[in-house]
Amino acid sequence: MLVHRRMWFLALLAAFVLGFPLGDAAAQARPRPVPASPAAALPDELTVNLLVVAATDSKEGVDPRLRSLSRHLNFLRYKGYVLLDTHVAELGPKSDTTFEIVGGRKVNVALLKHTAERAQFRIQIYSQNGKLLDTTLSVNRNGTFIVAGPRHEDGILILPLQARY
Amino acid sequence: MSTHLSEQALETLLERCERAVATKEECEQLASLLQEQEREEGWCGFREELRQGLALEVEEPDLAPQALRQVAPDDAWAPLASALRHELPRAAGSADLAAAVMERLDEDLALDAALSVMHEGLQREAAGVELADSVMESLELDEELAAAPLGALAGALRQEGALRQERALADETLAAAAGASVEAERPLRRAFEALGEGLAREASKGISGADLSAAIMGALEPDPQAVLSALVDDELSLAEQRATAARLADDRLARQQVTAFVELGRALRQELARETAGEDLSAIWSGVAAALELEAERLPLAQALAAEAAEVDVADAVMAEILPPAERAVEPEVELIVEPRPVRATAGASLFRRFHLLPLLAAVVALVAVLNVLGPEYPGVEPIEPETVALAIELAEVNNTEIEDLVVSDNAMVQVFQLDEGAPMIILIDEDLEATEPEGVTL
Repeated sequence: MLVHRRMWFLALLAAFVLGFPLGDAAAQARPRPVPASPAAALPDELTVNLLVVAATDSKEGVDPRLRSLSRHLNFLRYKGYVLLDTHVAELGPKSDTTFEIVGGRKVNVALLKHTAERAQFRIQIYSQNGKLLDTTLSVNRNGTFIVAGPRHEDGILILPLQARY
Repeated sequence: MSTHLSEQALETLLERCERAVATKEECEQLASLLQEQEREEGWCGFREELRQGLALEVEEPDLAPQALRQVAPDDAWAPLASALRHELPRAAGSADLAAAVMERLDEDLALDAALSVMHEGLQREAAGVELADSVMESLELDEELAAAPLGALAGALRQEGALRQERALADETLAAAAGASVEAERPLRRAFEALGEGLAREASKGISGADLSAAIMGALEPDPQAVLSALVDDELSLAEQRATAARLADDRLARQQVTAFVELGRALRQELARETAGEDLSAIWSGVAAALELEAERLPLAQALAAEAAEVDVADAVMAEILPPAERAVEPEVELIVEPRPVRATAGASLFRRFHLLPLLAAVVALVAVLNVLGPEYPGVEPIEPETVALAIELAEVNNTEIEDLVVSDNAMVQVFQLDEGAPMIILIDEDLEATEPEGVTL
């Protein structure tokens, strides 16, 4: 029995060796969790990373770049999740930036304050019909939150926002 | 003092009492007359209006003092009270009420004091009769009415009557309204019935009317054969299974139908097994997953491999190579459709397994190769072409968001989710709603 198991294992291993080009791509696709480091020194500025993701039924599957988010998107019940755009900005205290995203919408992100543990933001989303959302929230250091729901083609937009510092 | 008076003399005496001009002697004469009439004929000889007034007063006690004032001048109160002490219980028809009044009366009291006591007694007895206060208030405030107590009494009684009429009217109105509401429901119910009939009629005469009608009627009343088929396929809920089982108990045709379904399924499976013997079907799963709206990427390949490979426990090792580290810890969300089948441990099983699983190995190799070529996508599905494989975002292990203020536009609604502890908070906006909140929604 052990001999057979070993044979199967070797056979399968050979199959994967043949089937997978073990290159950098696969390695890069693996998400690397951001370690929480509240005790780290407090920089003056933080990096805001805004993704623009389209949830759609016309495509299927999750963009590999969104793999770390995929299990948090599944409840939206769309067939496909496509990364449309990525916005990055450096924000200091009491400063803000506006990202223009698809559909003529704008996302204004204002950093109200940040400490070693948390960052407080005011997020305003504007559509062509006016302000859609205005929220003030705080998120832990390197934490991510998601705004979803603005209509886009046959689905919706999903806007993950991360504050990294 | 004679107690025998002619009818005319009695009428005159009563009128004088009514006009409060009777002398003490006349009042004593009246009291004696009352006592005598009590013995001989009760209240029959008493003035009708007064008798009615007193009788009504017993029902509305607060009116009694005014009636008594009419027939009892100050100096004539004592004999009259004495007479009434005997008459009132019978007139009242309520021993308790009369006793309460008369026990408080004292012949030595002045009329006002007596009336006050009587009033108190009557009020105590009439506790809860709201009308009393209003009547008394109108009588006491209106000097003209006070000067003509019987008129006031009549007015008060008319007022009371009007009030009662109003109350009766109100009751009638309420009853009518209640009836009207019931009546109002009838046309509504009829409208619903008509709507239902209209829908059924329209559905049955449309272009694809037959199908539509059948679909509607099917939704209302399941096809008995479909229910039996679903029973065979284990697609019924427990309650439906019980109901169907009860039906089968006394329906021979249904039992035969179920048997036919089972035999048909068995024959189909045998034929399918014969046709697909030696064929590699492992690549079919992607299409099946798509048809079932399952995510092919989240295919529980580990479980499928474990099921197929049975004792060959290489599934975890395979999955460790397929999935990135973060995904390995994720429990598959898609339930395995086919239950794992244990491999029978019989003599010569290893030899059998060797030849039985060789095609499987080949199938796994082919499947992995296909997966590698196509990535997570499958034939028939437009693949998403990644521009780069670098992750767009790297999640922290803990994502903790606290919303301090949140306002959405009038025509939107917002919901906030957090699927797991430590997962990113999701603020979900639902646009294009009808404006219901003039100032938006604040959480």
